[in-house]
Amino acid sequence: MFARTERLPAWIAPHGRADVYPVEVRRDPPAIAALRRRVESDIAARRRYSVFDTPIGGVHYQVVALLAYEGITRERLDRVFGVAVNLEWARDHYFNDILQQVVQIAGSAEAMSFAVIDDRGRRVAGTLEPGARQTVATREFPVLFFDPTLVAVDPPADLAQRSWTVSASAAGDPTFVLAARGARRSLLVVGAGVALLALSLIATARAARLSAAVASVRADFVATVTHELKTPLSTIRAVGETIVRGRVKTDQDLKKYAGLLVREERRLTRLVNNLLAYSRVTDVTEVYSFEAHDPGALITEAIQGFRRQLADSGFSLDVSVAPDIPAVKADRTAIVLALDNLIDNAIRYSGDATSVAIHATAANGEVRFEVIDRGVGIADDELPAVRRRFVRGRTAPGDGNGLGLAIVGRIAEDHQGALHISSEVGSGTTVTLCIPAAEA
Amino acid sequence: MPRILIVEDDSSLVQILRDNLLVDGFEVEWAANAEKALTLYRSFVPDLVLLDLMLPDLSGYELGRVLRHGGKTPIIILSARGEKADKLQGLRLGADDS
Repeated sequence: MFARTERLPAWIAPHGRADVYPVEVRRDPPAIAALRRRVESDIAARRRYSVFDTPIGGVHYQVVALLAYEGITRERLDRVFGVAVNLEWARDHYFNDILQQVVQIAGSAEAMSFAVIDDRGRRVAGTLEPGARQTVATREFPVLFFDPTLVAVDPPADLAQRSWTVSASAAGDPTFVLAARGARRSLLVVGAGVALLALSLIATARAARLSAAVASVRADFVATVTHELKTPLSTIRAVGETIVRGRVKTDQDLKKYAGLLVREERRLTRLVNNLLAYSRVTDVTEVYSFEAHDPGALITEAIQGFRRQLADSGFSLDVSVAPDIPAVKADRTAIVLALDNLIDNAIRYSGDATSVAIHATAANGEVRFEVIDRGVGIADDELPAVRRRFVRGRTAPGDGNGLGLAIVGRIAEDHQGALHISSEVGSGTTVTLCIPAAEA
Repeated sequence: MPRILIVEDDSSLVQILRDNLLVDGFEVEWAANAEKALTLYRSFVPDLVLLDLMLPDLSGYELGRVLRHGGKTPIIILSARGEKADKLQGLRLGADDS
């Protein structure tokens, strides 16, 4: 038996010699005779692991032993290797150490706070008050110093089923950029501590970060949607008031304002459609109706709504559909909405350019819809972000809602297709929507 | 003739605002983003700034703080966000009304 020299259990008599080694070795100390018999019962049952709780010299331990046999029939025992964890020591010291390491991984100490709560609701470690209101994530974990999935399905009767809770709060954290750092460092902790408990704590820290991030996305959502709904309404009201007060003197002005109303109505309609589509595509109970559709007809339907806008602003739209293009297997409404968003983006991000191209081609069993503008472009570092909800690029003009590409990406995914964006600042953006062709 | 600088990225709203202000006899300039707003603030020297809170390149609050730091020109916040918290935040940065 090995024991740490600097933390020698009370049930082992000291040697009385000066400590030379960090570990002391004892052969069959009487105090572990019961432990030995318990392990032998698992050996007799040909078990691979022996796990149980037992008192040794009046102290509670959790014993975890690996039983190695010669050959696959487990006829002869080769060796036993195991550890006994002093549960009282672990309770007092282990979790505080782990928490400190997790705080390092998860971010600065003032931003993240944690607590480990035992099965009786007492705080074992950490600084977060039990039941604190700012708690954003909690996770139960079994107080087991081994991977329970490795051990027999039925836990032995003499292994206590304790379940503790770890809570985390990222209330003080303004940024959520440390995830990558955390992933790297988590390996160190796993090496340093008992892997499962540390992983559980890290997962909790991540969950805390995630819920805080989700809360911030929700706040963005409310702000964005409020802005996007209210801005057109403000314009409509202002136009109405201008007309009501008799401030419009010429027919030409009247026509201009009527045009504004039509344009704002289109914006509101697109926003509502996008929101409905987003809730539809995020709601798994609603299903698409996948049928074979002619890509050219889908494009024609999508550009229908833009004809007047394009004509008024002198825009040219170059549409080309490859001959003999196969039908796509698609939900018509979804694809038309996707193309509508892509064309709308292309026009809005065109800057001074006045041409947008739409090409449909077929390759490798899929149809590619390319929407190409010659406008402001998107910077490389922003490309991954613009596909997320409510994120608009730096070069984005005012009237986007940040939902469009997120919706299109989602629609592509739901069709087992793909969405690719390539862009160069100043020379334009090409967005490619790939949708599988229908079976011939 | 009093000069008004509109900092607003929504072209429709700007159009109707500008038309009305022109009828009322103001001189009007328009900036769609914070960068242009700062340039015009210096060259056009407005007597009043109408400021939107949601700009593509900088939040209206931040721009407001910068403009406030640079002079005493009154700022009125134009916002589709009518929340009390937004109004308070706007007034706190030194807006004269919102």
